[in-house]
Amino acid sequence: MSKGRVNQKRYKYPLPIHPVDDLPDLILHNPISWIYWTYRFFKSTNALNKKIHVDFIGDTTLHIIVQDDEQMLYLWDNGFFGTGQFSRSEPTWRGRTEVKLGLNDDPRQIQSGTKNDAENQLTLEKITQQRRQQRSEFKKERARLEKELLALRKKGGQIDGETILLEKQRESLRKFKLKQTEGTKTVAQPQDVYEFNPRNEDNDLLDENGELKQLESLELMPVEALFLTFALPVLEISPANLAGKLFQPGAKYEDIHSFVRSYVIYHHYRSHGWCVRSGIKFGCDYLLYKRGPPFQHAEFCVMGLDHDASKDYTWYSSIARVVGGAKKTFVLCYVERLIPEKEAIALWKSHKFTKLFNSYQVGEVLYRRWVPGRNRD
Amino acid sequence: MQLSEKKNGQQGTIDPELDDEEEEEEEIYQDWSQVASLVNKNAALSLPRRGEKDYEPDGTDLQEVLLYRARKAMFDTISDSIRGTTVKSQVKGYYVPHRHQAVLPKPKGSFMQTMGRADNSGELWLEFHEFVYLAERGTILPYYKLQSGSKHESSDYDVEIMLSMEDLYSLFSTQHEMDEYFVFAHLKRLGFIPKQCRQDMGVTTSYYPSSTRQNNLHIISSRFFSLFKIQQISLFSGFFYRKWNFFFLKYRTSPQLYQGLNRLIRSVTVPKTRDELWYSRFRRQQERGKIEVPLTFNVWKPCANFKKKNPGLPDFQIIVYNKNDKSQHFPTCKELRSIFASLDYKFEFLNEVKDDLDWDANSYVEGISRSQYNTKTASKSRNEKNTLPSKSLTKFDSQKETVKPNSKKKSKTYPPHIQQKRRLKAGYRSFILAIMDNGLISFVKMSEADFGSENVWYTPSSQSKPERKVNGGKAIKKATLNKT
Repeated sequence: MSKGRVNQKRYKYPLPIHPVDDLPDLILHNPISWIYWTYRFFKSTNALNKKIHVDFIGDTTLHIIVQDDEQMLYLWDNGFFGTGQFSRSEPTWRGRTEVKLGLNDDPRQIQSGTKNDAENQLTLEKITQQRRQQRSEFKKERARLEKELLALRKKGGQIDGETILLEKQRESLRKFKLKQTEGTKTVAQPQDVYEFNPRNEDNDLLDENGELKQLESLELMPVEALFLTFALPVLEISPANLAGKLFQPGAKYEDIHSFVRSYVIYHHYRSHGWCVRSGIKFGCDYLLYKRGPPFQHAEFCVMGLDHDASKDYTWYSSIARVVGGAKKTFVLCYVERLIPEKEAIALWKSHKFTKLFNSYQVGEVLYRRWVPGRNRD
Repeated sequence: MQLSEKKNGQQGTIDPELDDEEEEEEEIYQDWSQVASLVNKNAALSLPRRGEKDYEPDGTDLQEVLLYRARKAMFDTISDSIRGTTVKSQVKGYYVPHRHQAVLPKPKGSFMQTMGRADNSGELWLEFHEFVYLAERGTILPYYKLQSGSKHESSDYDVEIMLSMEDLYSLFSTQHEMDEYFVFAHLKRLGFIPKQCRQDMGVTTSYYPSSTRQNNLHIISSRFFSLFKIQQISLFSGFFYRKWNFFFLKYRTSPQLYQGLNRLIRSVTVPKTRDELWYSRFRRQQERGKIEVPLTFNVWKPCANFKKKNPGLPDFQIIVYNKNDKSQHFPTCKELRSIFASLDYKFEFLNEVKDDLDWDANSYVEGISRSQYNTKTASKSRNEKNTLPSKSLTKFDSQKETVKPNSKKKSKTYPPHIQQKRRLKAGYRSFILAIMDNGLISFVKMSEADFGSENVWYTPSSQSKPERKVNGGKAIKKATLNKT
C-alpha cells in the first residue's frame, strides 16, 4: 500500500542512467512551448552530471568499492547494484548505527525521502531480527503445547481425548500466530526505541563533531563494475582501465574466460530487464529479480556453463535441490564462443569489448525435478 | 500411522496457481489403514487418516499403541490378500534367445491392452523388458525354450525349463538394458504406459506431417527464416557502447535504453509455435552429421482406452542415463539441443498459445491427420461389423470436450505478465531425463527456455500511472493493482 508507493517512487528508475522524461508539455498551438521544449530537449542529457568514483583495494583479490554516501545510495536505488559491506545488501549500516546510538531518530533510509512511515523506519535487518524473535516465541509456544500432550499421554489418555486436545492446540497455535502478525504492525515503533548503554568502543565511531563516521562502503562485483562503465557510462573509470585492473596485461584466454562468460550472462539478463544479483547464497551464479529485491523474491537461479560442459550428475542435483528448496527455478545458461580463442583474447587486449561480447551466444535450459506421481493426472 | 506419516494435510488440494511451485512434498504416502479396511471386511480399523508427526519416542504406551496399529494395518493388508495364480489362469511365456523376446502361445489378461504384439498365428510377442516385468508381477510364468526344439517343428515347446527371477535378470544383455528395465518397471507400476521408442508400434503418430509434405512445408515456413537467424550486430548497437552515445542520442524512456543494451549478446531462439516447430524439424532433416542421442521411452499417462496399435502422441519422452557408467555423461548443450529437436510428443506449451488444441487434428499418421485416420479406420471396422473402436473413440472425444472448457477459461483469464511468468518457468519443448544411480532412479525435466525473447523491464512513467512492459510491446496498466 503506502509502502508500495514509497518504493515505487524511490526505485522509479531501473537503471542508473535515467531517460529524459522531464520535458515540458508540447502544446501544438503554442509556438513558444515548441521553443521551450526544444531548448529543454537539447539541454537535457541522459549522462550523469558527475560520474561515480570507485576505489580499488586488496592485492590478492580485488575489491571494487564506492565510498561516497550519496553515490552508494544512488547505485542501490537505480538498479540495485553492489552490496553494503556491513549490511545484507543495501548499505544501511550507518543509519542502523545512528539509531542504535541514539544519535538520530530517523534511520538512514528516511534520507531518501520516505519520512513518517512507521513501516519504513525499520531497516531490513531489523525486520529480520523481529521475525526471528517471533519465530522463536512461536516455537516456545509449540513446545509448551507438545508437553501438554505428552502429559496427557503419560496420564494414560485415550486416543479420542488426544484428538480433541490436538484440535484445540492447533486452533490456539493458529490464534497465536495471528496475534503475532497483527502485533508487528502496531508495535513496530515502540519496540524500536529501547535503552542503550554506549560502550567505549562506540566512541571511536564518532568524529570530532560527534557525528557518526561512515565506515561502510558499497562493493561492486567485477561484472557489475564492467556493466556500469562499458554498457552504461556511470563510473569514472574507463572500461579499458577497469580491464587492466582486473587482469594482468599478459593475460591468456583461460584467465579471462570465466569472467567474460560471467559478464555475457550478466549483460544478457540485465539487458532484458532483470535485476541480476549474485546467487552465491543459493549455490549458483546469479539470481534474477523481476524489479528488484524490495519488490519480489527472486524467481530464477542461473548457473553459467560452457556449451560443451558436462558435469557429474551430483553437481546438477545438489544445486537443483537448494534452488528448489527456495522455490526458485533453476536455469542452466549455456554460453558458446563463436570465434577462436586467439581472436577473443586479441579483442580483449585491444579493448574492443563490443565485438568481443557480441561473439558469444547464450541459450537456456530449465532443470526441474520431475515427480512421476504428480504428473499422472 | 502417526509415526510413519508426514503431516501432509495440504497434499490433497493442489492450488493450480502454484502448480509449478510444487516440489518439496511429493511422494504421497500410502495409507495402509484404508487398504486394510478393504481387505479386512469387518473394517473395525478406523484410524485417523492423518495426524501429527511425533518427533521422538516419548516412552508412553499410547505412542506404542499407535505405532503398533499402523504397522499392523500394513501387515494385515499384505497377509490377508490372496497371492499367486490359479493353475487354470496360468499364462506361460517362453523366452526366445535369438530374438531376445518372449512368446506367449496362449495369451490372456488385461496386460495385453498395453503390452506385446500379436502375430498372425495368435501368439503374443513380448519385448524382453515386458517379459521380465510380467514375470516379476507374477502375471506370467517364465520358461526357457530350448533351441534344439526348433529343428523339429512339432516338439517346439516340449523341452521347457522354468526360469527363476535370477535367471531372467542374467539374460539382460547389457547394464544399460537393465537400467532401462528399472525405469520401465518403475513407471509401469505407477500406472504410466511406457513404450520403448525403438519398439515397433502398429502405426507411428507424429506431430510433424510426413516427408511427402515437406516441400510445401518449406514454402510455408521459409518466411520464418529470419526468426532462426541469430541477432546480428547492427551499426547502431555498436554505437550504443561508444563514449559519445549520450551526446548524440537522447533516450526518453527506460525501454529505449534497454533496447540499446539488448543488442549485444546473441541468444538462441527456440521454436514456440506450430510453424516454428515444423520449420525446425525441416531444418533438422537437412542437416547431416549431427549428434544423435536416442530417446529411450515414449510414455503415456494412465489412460483406460489406450490402444497399443494406434496410441497417438505420447505425453512424455524419456532418456535413461546411468550416472556411474563411464561411457555416458550428462548431456552437453549441443546434445540437449539435438534431443530437443528430435522430440515428438504432445508439446504441452502449445496449449498455452492455443487452449483448445485438439491433438488428434494436430498429429499425423501416415501423412494424414490422426483424426482423419481414426475415422477412416473406424468406418472400415464398422463395415466389418465391429463398432467397438469408433464407440470408444467418440467416448474419448466427448470426454475431452467436457473437460477442456473449464481449463480453457481458466488460462484465458491470466494477465500477460502472469502468462509471461508461466512461459519462463515452464519453458518450451521438454523431455524427462531418468538418472540411474545404483538402482535409485531420479527424474529430471529438462526444458528449453528462451529468456532472450522476453522482456521484463519495468517502465516508470512521469505521471504516477505505472505501466508494466510485458511481452516486448504490449504495455498493461497496473495502476489499479498498485492502488489496492
